[in-house]
Amino acid sequence: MALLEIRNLTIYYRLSEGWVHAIENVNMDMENGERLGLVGESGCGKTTLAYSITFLLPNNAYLKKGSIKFLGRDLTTLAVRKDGRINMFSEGLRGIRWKDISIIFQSAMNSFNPVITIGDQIAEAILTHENIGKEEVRKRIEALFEIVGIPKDRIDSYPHEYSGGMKQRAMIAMSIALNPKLIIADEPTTALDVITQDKILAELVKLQKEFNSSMIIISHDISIVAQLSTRIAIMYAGQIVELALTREIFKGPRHPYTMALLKAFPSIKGEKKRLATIQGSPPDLINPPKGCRFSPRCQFAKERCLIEEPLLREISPGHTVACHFAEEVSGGR
Amino acid sequence: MGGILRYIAGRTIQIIITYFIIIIFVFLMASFLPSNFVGLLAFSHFTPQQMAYLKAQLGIGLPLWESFVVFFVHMVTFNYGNSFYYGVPVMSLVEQALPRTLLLLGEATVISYIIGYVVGTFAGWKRGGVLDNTSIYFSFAFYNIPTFWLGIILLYAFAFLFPIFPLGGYVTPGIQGMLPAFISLQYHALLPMIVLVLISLAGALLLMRTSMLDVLGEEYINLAAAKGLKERDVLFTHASRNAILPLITSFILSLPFIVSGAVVTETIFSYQGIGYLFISSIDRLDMPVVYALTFIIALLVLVFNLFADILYGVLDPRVRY
Repeated sequence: MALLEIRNLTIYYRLSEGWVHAIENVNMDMENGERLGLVGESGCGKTTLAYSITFLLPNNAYLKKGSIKFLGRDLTTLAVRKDGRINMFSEGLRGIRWKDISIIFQSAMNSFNPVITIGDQIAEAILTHENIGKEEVRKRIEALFEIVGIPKDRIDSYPHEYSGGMKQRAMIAMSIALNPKLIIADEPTTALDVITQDKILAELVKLQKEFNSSMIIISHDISIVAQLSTRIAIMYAGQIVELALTREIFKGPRHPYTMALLKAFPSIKGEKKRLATIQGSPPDLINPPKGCRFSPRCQFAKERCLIEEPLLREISPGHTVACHFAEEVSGGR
Repeated sequence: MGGILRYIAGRTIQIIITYFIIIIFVFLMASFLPSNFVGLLAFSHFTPQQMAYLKAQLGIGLPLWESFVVFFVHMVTFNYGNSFYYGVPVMSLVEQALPRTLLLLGEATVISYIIGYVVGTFAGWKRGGVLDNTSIYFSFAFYNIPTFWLGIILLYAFAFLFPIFPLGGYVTPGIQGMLPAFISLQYHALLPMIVLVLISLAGALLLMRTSMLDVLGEEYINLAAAKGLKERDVLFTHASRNAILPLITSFILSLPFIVSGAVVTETIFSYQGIGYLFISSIDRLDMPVVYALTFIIALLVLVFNLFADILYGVLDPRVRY
């Protein structure tokens, strides 16, 4: 059984100006032990997609259609009201949150409650799901701190007494506290310097393998995702436009957006050349373009692209692309 | 620990300096009043003893500089002298009026902060909901109604048309015993208290609501929800626990004004508290009383500011001295 099966997921945000088409017709599967990278520009819906797995969405989010099956169980039945509005505090989801799906939040700097000690915040996560004594919780936290390399005497410190790297480690310790099946890492190292970032990412992968969890890594930095994930999903304007093994995305990208994205990021190997930028800006998601959403910015766009929306299709085993001309376009590095 | 003691010592020195500056300003302002003591003295029919008293106590009739020294020494040593009007020590007037004001303003302040906390918490949590919209509408409406108007309307409605409450005063004359006197005091204070709660509710409520909205935008609220906490626990252990900090500061800073009384409300309801004493003493140019009240209130404001800062450090571990 697949760990995660997302089918035709469509989530809109309600604003006074209209509906924001944040996620449209997204299909995605994940297997146990997999590390999936979600890449895209800011506002492309990658965070909404990842957080929608536990329905951690603002109260103006509506599920328009689709399903999210986690270990065969459809979570949409738990958290969605009759009118489609998402209930972030649904009782049915509480048991799954953190126990099965934990989140490493974007910028761990501000993710901890500033007036509660780090130890108490981790204990809170454990005690919400397990009925164990104080001393046992303490031992668990000490063990977790040892795993992520924070001295034990820092358990009772407050978040502001930690450095940025330590907070990130504490966040990781908390994310594995209940040995979840899926860890969602949202820009896990954005605020850190490159060396700390590298160390923490390596540890994260080591822990993920050790605990045999799956992981979703959200980032706009394709190099981080390349380093961490086994598969990569490229998102554009609320849709997955290409999904393939990491190697294939880099060796043979088939979607014009993926190609443009790869050109916009420097390579250590190969000749020095000026980085290419993608013309134009991401579309307005209240009135998304007709046909292919990337067509206004696509150098290969033809008439068909402006009328007909391309569906995600498999062009070679395990490599899916949403482009009418995936077989014809080229221009990877 | 040494940090906080040094902090308190430093702040105490600041308070003393500020207090001295306030005394200088009040003295100067009083000497430039168009109807100052010189005016009084011009038509005076004081006896030599009275003149000697005025000279010694208030420095009246001395050159400005010497007069300031006399004034300063008395104010710093809390020696406020006798009231011109009543002829009794100022402090005894304050002692009479203070319990009435403490009861009225104390209850009004505590009640409006409790309502503000509770309603503000839930209004912020369900932003745009029915409670949020109605509470903002009503608190703003009362906030913008002039106190004297609301006071008079309520007095007319509930003391005259429907005589549920007394028309004025602070106690039924001739009442015997501690408990009946207290109940009577409470009864007289009720209508002015309602006025004070209604007009001051908006402050606490909107502060709590805004603070809730700030906190709800923080990532740690999402983290708490992601951990699988109950909605109630996210609301109380994470959201309102953090959002209450500015409200507590505001509450402590409002404590000195419990002593200073409510001039307008007390006057409308003829409730003889500190505010009533203050305004009538100004009318009568009863300067010893005016000075005493000004300086007592100023000192309380300064001390409670310090107190709020210290307490904030206890409640928020990020604050260091």
